Amino acid sequence: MARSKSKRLVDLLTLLLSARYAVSRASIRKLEGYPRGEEAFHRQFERDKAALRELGFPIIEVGDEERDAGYLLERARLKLPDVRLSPEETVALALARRIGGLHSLVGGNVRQALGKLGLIGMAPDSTAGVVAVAPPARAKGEEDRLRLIEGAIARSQRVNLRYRKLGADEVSERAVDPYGLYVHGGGWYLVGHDHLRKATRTFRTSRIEKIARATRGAAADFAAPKDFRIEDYVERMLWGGWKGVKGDVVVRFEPSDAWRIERLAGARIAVKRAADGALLVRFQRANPDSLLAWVATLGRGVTIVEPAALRAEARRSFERVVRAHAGKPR
Amino acid sequence: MAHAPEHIPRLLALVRALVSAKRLPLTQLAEELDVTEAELRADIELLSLCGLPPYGPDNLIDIQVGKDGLVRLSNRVLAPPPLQLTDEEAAGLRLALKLAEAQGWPESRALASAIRKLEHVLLPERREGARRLARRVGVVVDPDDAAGERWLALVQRAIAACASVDMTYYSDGREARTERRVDPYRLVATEHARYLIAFCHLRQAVLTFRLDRILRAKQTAVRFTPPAELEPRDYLGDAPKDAANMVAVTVKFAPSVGRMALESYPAAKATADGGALLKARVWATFAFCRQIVAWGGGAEVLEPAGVREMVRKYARELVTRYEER
Repeated sequence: MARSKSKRLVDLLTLLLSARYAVSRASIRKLEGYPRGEEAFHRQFERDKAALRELGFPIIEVGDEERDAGYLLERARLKLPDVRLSPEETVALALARRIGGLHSLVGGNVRQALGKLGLIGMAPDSTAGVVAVAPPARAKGEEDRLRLIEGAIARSQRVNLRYRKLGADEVSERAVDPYGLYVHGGGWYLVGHDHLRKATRTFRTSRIEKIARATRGAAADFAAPKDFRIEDYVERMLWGGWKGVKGDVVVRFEPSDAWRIERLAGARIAVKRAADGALLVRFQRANPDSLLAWVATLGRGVTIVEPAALRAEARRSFERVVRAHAGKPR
Repeated sequence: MAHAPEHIPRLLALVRALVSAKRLPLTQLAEELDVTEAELRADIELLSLCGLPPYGPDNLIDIQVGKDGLVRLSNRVLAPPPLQLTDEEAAGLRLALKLAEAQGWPESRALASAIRKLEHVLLPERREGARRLARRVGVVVDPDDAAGERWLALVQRAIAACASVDMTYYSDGREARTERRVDPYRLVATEHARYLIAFCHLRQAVLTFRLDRILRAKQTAVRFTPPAELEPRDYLGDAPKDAANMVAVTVKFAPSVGRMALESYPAAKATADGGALLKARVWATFAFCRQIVAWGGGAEVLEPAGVREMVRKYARELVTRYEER
């Protein structure tokens, strides 16, 4: 099924790319795989045209009342003018393919771009030292889901989704205006206006059980906030104040872990050195939940100092671990 | 098999590659197109049936795999020119650049200039569309990873020069820093981190080092001979070469975190009470202890007893830190 569709589309492209003049409907009907009947042919051809346009092929229709309709590829919108890339740039694009390929969505898009540019098959040896190892099992359907979301973001089109919230057993149906998409720690997240909650919400894409466009046609369904930048939004949500909490958090890094501080990015920290050589780092307007989860991954050299409530919460959390592991398993 | 719309770019990329190169190894094409060799053979067979009416030898795409493992294209029935990119494809390059910059790849600058050149020749509305989309699709990096891997360039140069490296390394498993000399063999990127596979003179073995745990590095004048063959999967992943030293553990997750556990560990199984049970082979290190501790009591190591006790002691020590002062 899919194979015969692919063959028909390749044949159609071969015909359109090799034609100097508009191709008549009659010549297109001679391609293998098109149904005989006029009506069935018409429907199939319309679908194929739409599929190819989506892939970036500018098929235009020419003709008038005197002559039958003909089709051609608009050259100026088809071809990419010559680009002269330096060897370093070619190497860098090959690297982009390798590291992009480790992530759903990115890899496919980069590969397609390089394929169109004719940069597949030119792998220079200079990146031979870098090997990319993809995760062994990739959730099926994730790539398709992400492509659909990305397309909806690009064209400002509403989506309907069936979402299973973590920790909740019920599944909810929501209409979402997708604003953006981000990857964090191996998972992808959709950010958009949730019509159910009437607010901007974040959805982990792997928890989306079903997704489809809410409308048909190519028109935009909504206008996203004009200067929306996904990184700014996530920065506010993940590390900035959240759930109404906007206090500072002070974290103590023992001398053994002082090296971690050199790597902390962002202007939102202030560092003070304690008498014993430890570093006291103040995270301004931090999100306590994220910070607590993060500190727990850093080990024995990093502790929360302030606020007292968060410090107590960290301690309780570790005490629960001790209790869970006391004695023999029940 | 990919469904048709995404299949077409791959088929065209294959033809395009061969229009300029005439012949290319099957293995290289499979790697670059991210398909198995069997899938690639199926693509080639499909293309060889494509062409124009009356579908005689002169009208069919003449593409085949030789016994020598080379894929050859011998006519120009289909010879696509360099094609304009879609918004998504052009934005994909920008997203790869974000990844490269976040991870500290020295090639980022050349990548940025390549993207500038490509965007320059894009149709204005596609260029605008790609940039708009690239602002909406992002990469988020945890705070301590952000300025992470400043030694990437040095390590790449040392691998190319076969030069030994002296480095200070923070071992996550032992929670300790050590000075050591290594012979760097290979740089490996995975979804989550970048690693160096190197011969370690301190431990006298080939080991894996996370690049963001290299605190200091210096290339030495000493040269080494790299191994002829090295399979990264022997050192990374679920079944490394020295897997015999890993420990089989059973971890129980409480109902309150059951679903999250199933999401975090694909190998975990749901239990009747809504929780989860994980049986896995792990390295019994402090890094594993931290993994368990991060669940805040929601995860319990059932066996072996030694690992259970190690986790308890580790958590106990954390509590002590919060009792001080």
